[in-house]
Amino acid sequence: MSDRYFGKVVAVNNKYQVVINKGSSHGLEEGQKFLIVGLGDILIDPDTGDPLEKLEIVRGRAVAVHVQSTIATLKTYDYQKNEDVREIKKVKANSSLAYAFLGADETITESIKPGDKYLMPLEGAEIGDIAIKL
Amino acid sequence: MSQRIINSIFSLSGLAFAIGALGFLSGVVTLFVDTSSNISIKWLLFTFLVAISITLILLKVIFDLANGVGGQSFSENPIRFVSEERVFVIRRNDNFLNNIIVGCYVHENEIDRLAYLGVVHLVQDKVIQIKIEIDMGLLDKVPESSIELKSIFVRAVVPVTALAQLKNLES
Repeated sequence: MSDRYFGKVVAVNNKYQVVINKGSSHGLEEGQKFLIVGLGDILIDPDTGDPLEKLEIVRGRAVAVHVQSTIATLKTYDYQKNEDVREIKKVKANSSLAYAFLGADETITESIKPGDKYLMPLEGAEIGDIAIKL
Repeated sequence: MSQRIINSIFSLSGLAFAIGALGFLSGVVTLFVDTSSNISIKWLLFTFLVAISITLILLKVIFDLANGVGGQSFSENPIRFVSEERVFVIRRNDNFLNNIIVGCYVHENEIDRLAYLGVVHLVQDKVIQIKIEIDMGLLDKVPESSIELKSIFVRAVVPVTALAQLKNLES
């Protein structure tokens, strides 16, 4: 097991929260940040045929929000933002008198609606995943 | 790196330095030491031992420098493509640790062309994951077999035009 691996996921509360098997007795404090990874299959060097290491599949980044003596709850803290929506509105004001003499009065309004910001879930997190200290 | 060290030592200025140092040392020795007097074998052996030790230490330093960071390749072939994550896996190379944006080039007809723009996604103990961010549309599909992957070269060099494309995508 790599030295970078701090703890293991022992429970998945929901898609945003996991529990790891390390707590305050292991020096963990609230606010510490972790990378949650799953371990894939072992990689083989195609040139030498030597085994390299297991592929780490990134689930997401999480921060310790509640620390007990031997376990800690981590919550994802990465946000994703949807693309901004650009709207162009054309308004035609055609009062009968003005329309008769001047034609239709056209107003173009452009507005940019900021995209929604949402918390990124820990994609595919499961028991046995690894927490790496950041 | 090793070639640079060898070139520096055996250059014209290196030779001038060596002659100068030799002249200085012989001048100092003849100033303070009576060269016609007899010396004991004990001191001669001691001096010889010290000289050999210093030479060996210097050789070790030169060897370590020659095998340092500069000795690693500036490009890497992916050893695997993980389609679910859209990441290329390359061997760990210190030249890629501090380079967030990398270019994945395809070598065809003696020309390297940018096929993908990627970012360093995760650095592991022995491998580095490169996540593909922009497909330049050069290849129909991302190479997956080990033979196809040999034609891809990941380099920490990205053309300015590609960076502009990345900027447009973000805005």
